[in-house]
Amino acid sequence: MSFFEDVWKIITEHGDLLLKGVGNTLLLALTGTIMGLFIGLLIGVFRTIPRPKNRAVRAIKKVADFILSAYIEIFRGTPMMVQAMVIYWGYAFASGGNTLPLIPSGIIIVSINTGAYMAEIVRGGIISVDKGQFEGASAIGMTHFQTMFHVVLPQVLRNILPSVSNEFIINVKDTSVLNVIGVAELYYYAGIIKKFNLQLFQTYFVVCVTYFILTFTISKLLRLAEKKLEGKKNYTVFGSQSDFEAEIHVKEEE
Amino acid sequence: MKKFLTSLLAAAMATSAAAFTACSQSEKIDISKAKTLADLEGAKITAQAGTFHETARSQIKNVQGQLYDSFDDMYIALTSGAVDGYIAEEPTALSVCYKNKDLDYIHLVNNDTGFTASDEDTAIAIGSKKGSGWTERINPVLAQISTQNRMTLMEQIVRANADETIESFAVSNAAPDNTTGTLKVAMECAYAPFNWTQRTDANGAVPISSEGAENLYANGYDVQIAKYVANALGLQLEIYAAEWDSLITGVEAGTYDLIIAGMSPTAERRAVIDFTDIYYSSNLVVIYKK
Amino acid sequence: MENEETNVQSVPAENGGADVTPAAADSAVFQIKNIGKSFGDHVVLKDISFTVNRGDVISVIGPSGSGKSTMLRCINMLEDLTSGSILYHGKDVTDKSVKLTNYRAKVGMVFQSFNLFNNMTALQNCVKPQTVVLKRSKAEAKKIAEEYLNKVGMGAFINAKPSQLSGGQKQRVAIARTLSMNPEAILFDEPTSALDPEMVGEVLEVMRALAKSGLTMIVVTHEMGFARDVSDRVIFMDGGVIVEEGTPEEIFGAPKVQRTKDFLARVL
Repeated sequence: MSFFEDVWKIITEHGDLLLKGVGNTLLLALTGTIMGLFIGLLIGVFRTIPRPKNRAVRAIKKVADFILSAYIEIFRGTPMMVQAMVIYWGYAFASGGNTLPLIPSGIIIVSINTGAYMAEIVRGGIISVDKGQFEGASAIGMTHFQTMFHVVLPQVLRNILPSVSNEFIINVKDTSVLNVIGVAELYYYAGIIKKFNLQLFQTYFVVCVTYFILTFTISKLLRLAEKKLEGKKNYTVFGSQSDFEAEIHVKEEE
Repeated sequence: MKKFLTSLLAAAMATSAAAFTACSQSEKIDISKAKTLADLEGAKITAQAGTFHETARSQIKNVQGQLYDSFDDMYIALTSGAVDGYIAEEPTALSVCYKNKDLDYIHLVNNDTGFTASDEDTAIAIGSKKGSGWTERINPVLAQISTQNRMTLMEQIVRANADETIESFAVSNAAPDNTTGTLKVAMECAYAPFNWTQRTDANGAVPISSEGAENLYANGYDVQIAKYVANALGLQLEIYAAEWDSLITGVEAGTYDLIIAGMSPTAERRAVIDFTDIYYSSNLVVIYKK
Repeated sequence: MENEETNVQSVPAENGGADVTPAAADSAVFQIKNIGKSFGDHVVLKDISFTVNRGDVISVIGPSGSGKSTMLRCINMLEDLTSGSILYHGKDVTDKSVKLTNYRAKVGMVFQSFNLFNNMTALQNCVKPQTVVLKRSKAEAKKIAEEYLNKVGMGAFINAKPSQLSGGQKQRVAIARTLSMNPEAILFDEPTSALDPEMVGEVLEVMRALAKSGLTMIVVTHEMGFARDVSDRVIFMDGGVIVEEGTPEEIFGAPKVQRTKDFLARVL
């Protein structure tokens, strides 16, 4: 019984720290995922630009392509914990002892990290869009960016939403590595709380349950959003060309 | 393909089986009667990785078990029965055993019944960036503290760590009326009784200045020394909580002015940062479960 | 053909846009000059030349793999040419300085696989290209889109997504989408090949009405009845070359070349 008493004590005595940690974890994961998605979409649009006719432009694009590939490979291929250390302390050395504010640097690190993954997710999403969609759009006179913005990306977003949700949930958990530079997220506070009571197991049990509640709620909410985005299964047929009151509701069989 | 997968699976199972056998190999040894280092032969004794304790540990014959990164982990390893004991400085042992009556420690004496260790290994000093001049400014301040007062302060700190109220510390001085700047001191805030984190400013604790550490306070032997030094130099003390690995980096980068973190001035560390004279020295002991 | 539903009126092409406007009033809309296309070593088109005048309805027939669709895609510049040139009102659109988006906005294309935008309703499919490419106002675009959707008999389905429509309905929306751009000419790439037989009729009916309205059309088709009854000229292609070209009467009534005779004997 004393185990649950310990747990309850942790919640009542240090609940404020846990809540602060939850807030910062969510802030880091959410902004990081959204900015990462944005980076991914930008790269996706850029990398699918058709081969430019102009030779100079082609050379510039080639260089940019190389830089983007390097970015993706480097940030996807190294642990976020190490990146955090390198960026944070690298800046401190370069600036003669100044440090970046922790939460913003945390957001930047999560964003560029997620961006590298998102770029690949978006690439997959663009590939999965039927080639006819691109042809239909260019045959009608749309430019690459118009095609992407109006036709392809809306479909890509819908297709990749499960992967984006996945990234978000991964980020909720993985932001815990940012404690190495002292970002005050949930795991960081767990580290502080365990120092008060020396109850390592009880403290991490509470934090573990907190993480699970977070990710479980988020995944349920995102499922709901996915369903919403899939759109209504029914639509309205206007029973008469002149009388818009005469509606027939058609429901697609499920 | 199927054959390949089968052999892969078999290899994986064999490896994990071997790993399990290795884990359950050594028998539990009762070390409560131990008086000298020799009595600890074959016991599962752990130590903090990357410190002098790790080197000292290898002086135990046929020592078993693994290393851990932090004292928290070693504490939980001991209380859960994963290890027979862990190496700590005597103050740490005092503090831990004062709080947890299930634990006790073997009163080893350095270079006698216990570990072979130099002052460089078991004494602690204040670290600063090479050539920053802090050492020269701080040494006269440290010289004002008598050995007797050091010992008394440590005893008081151990009691403060057990939530007892201390009227006034043996090492203390008045805060200056005007400060001429800040003194940024880094420590783990997680190495009782040298430094720890608490939720109130009881017993002269100092607020932690790190981002996200609002309403958290640092206290301990190092904190009181830091306060004494800052007051003597006429500076405003700011305490930063940092990971052990980040302490030296932070000082090198100029993020922190000083490390006052129960850190021993080893030759390796002296190569990268400056150290003051010693402000505490202790025996290395082994904490065990009664 | 007095059916109100499908009696489509062609709207005269807007001659806006800079670089593809005809220099002089010339009845030739397209002059295809010696175009060739190869994919690697594989030669798909060889030395194709013909002229399309305003109001012409030209059917392109021939066996599968004869290069008909590739030729049509080349005219719309969806494929790069290997050789030759395509003049649109006398201006070479294969020239790198020509803005293809302007050209394509004036030359509509209807695909075998419809290529409706899956993320939009039937109405949005017709509105979006107008507002995005032609910069029309939303209200104007909607009015035009509804007009054409009604004309192809899809007025009742404006809120349906492509996934909710049958093949024939999709193709009619695709035609309405193309018409909403008020193109000068429309290229049809086997518009009925992907349809169930019972749906071919509804699409052909729309196309017949379009042809009657005086719209310039190039139709790659397997529908011999349509080619014979509706077109002004018929081009028979085989092996990447134009084998024979003439009026429907000439091609279907008295083909001169043996390969044409063989092909027609197989399909008719």
